[in-house]
Amino acid sequence: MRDASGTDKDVIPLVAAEEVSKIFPIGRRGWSRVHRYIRAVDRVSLEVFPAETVGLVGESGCGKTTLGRLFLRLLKPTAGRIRFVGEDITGLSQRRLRPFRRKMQVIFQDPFSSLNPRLTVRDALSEAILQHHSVRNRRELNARLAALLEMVGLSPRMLDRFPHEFSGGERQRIGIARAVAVEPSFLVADEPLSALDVSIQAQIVNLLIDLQRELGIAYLFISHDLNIVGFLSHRVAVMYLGRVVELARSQDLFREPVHPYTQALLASVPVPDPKRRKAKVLLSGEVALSTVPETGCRFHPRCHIAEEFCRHVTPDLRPSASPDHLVACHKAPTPAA
Amino acid sequence: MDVSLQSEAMLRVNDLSVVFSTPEGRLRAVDRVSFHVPRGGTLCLVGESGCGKTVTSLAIMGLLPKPIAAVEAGEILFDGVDLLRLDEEERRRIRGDQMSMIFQEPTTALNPVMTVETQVAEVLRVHRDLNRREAREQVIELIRLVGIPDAEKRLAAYPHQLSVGMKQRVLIAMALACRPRLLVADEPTTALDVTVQAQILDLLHRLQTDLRMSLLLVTHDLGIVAEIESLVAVMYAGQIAELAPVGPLFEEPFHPYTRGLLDSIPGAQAAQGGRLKAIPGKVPDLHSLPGGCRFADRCSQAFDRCRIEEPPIYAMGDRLARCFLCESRGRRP
Repeated sequence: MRDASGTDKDVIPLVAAEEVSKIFPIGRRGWSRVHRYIRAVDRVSLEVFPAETVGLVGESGCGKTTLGRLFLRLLKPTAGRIRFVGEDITGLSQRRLRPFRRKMQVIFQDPFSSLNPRLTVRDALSEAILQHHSVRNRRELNARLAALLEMVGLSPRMLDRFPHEFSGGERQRIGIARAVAVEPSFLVADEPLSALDVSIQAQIVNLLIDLQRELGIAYLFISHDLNIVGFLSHRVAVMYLGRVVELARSQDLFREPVHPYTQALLASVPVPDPKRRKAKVLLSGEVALSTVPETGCRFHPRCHIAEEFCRHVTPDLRPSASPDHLVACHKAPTPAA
Repeated sequence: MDVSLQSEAMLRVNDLSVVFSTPEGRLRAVDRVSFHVPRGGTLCLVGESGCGKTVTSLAIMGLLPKPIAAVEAGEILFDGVDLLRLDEEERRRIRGDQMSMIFQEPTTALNPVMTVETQVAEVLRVHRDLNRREAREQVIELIRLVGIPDAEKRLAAYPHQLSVGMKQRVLIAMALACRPRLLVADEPTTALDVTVQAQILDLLHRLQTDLRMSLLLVTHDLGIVAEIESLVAVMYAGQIAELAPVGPLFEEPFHPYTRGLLDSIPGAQAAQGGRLKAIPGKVPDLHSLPGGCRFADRCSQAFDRCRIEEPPIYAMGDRLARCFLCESRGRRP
């Protein structure tokens, strides 16, 4: 776990989601109108500060990928605003977004499918560099390519190879090289490790940490692997069915989770130490869109401490264990005055 | 449960080698692998992609893809009988009956156009020769056993109407239909969310105890391994690198690869100045293996001999490891 940084109140957030919602239509019946909608993201506010890593965790279908795409303005929110260094970019056209695109990059789970199989590494990286940089001649371009590869731990000799000639870990390094080629200040990493073996995951985690130190990039790190999120993030947001249910500094969240869902989630994570086997409080049921309750807290059908009013009133995110430990639960304690 | 090296074996694999014919030539995906699954106990087969753990489990089940893969040498003793000496018909009769398997991807393992009842009942009708009504009763019982609520109603469901966790439960029900003595589970929770993973692991553990079943659990996740009282075989590039009971293995790994895997998990070890202790490099290509130890190129403790000579397996009391560092305290078995 890392020290919190950049969370001072006077610093302007690098990117901020303000009460953002995204509603997708589903279930079109024949020619008739759309008759069902799902709220993939429901009134979420989340800020990422310069050089900070915010972890976004939750199970499949909780809306974490959608939220990442809203931050990048790859999706347009149904309601709410997205700000980049204070500037509202919610309604900007594709053309007017271009200068912001350079500052915001993304890396994906499967680096293979996000690389064009017909482009060599040189082509793929040059494309990114030329889009955003003024390089005067081929020599400058080559120098920049070599520096990029070295930065992500690959040999410049690999420049003329095609994606299929690389292992999974190397491909992810290329994906990262392409993302940092344009010198972004914000990077969304959407499950960047899930396709990689354990020993390679650690290499990529270290690379991300080094790049943040050298270049001051802020990360929104989306993952279902709580061990890695806890290790890499300064702050962590836990999502459940489209809502952020808990947001706190990483060490606080892992030491003292407050929301019953966070508690169950953390209790489910296997501990790699046979001496610390724990008695599990198993969460029954599964997350499914069909189980989204009409009213009240979205977690109440699976919650063991839910009461009658939890079924009717939706809890908002508010300070709980401490002023910067936010929890969306009616039963969470309020901070000591 | 006795899960030491000396425990009585339900399944014993001796010097198993599996070769693949590929366009680039013959490739030995599994190389002289030996281990046993204790009777009523668990063996965890751990390793990263391409280490041969799935190929080993397919060889045990007799499900290697033909004709490109074949067992080259070795024995697979199931309750003392060498499965490799049986003909195809005899193996088919054992498979799904006395030993069965569950896979990683529950969605692709089920037939999308057959109901839950039809798929589970098929196993019983093939192996137990039951008629439709007899099978139905047992299917309902099985569905309850694996913790699916409203068993009677779920019988008519098609796979797409079930969540991933429920599909995995249906597959477990199919695997358990004939009360097998050995269950091979290949990454049974990899496709699942953590809370569902915890449910399924809990279910497997309960079923194993109740049915006194032996379990071969194939996984890449050392976190899962740590939670199960078991013998653990760590595989690397087609070979067993280390074999030990779970407690001692996590306490003091003997093979540098095992040590490296444990260090790669955040939280397992104290962070080194905010970074993880990663294993450098990558797994060697099985087509062009290094001359000596297969792990030597990535090993921080490797010395000259490791690059020239392949280390044998050394036995140290309850444990085995393929590493020269164990030479002084071990003996050649």
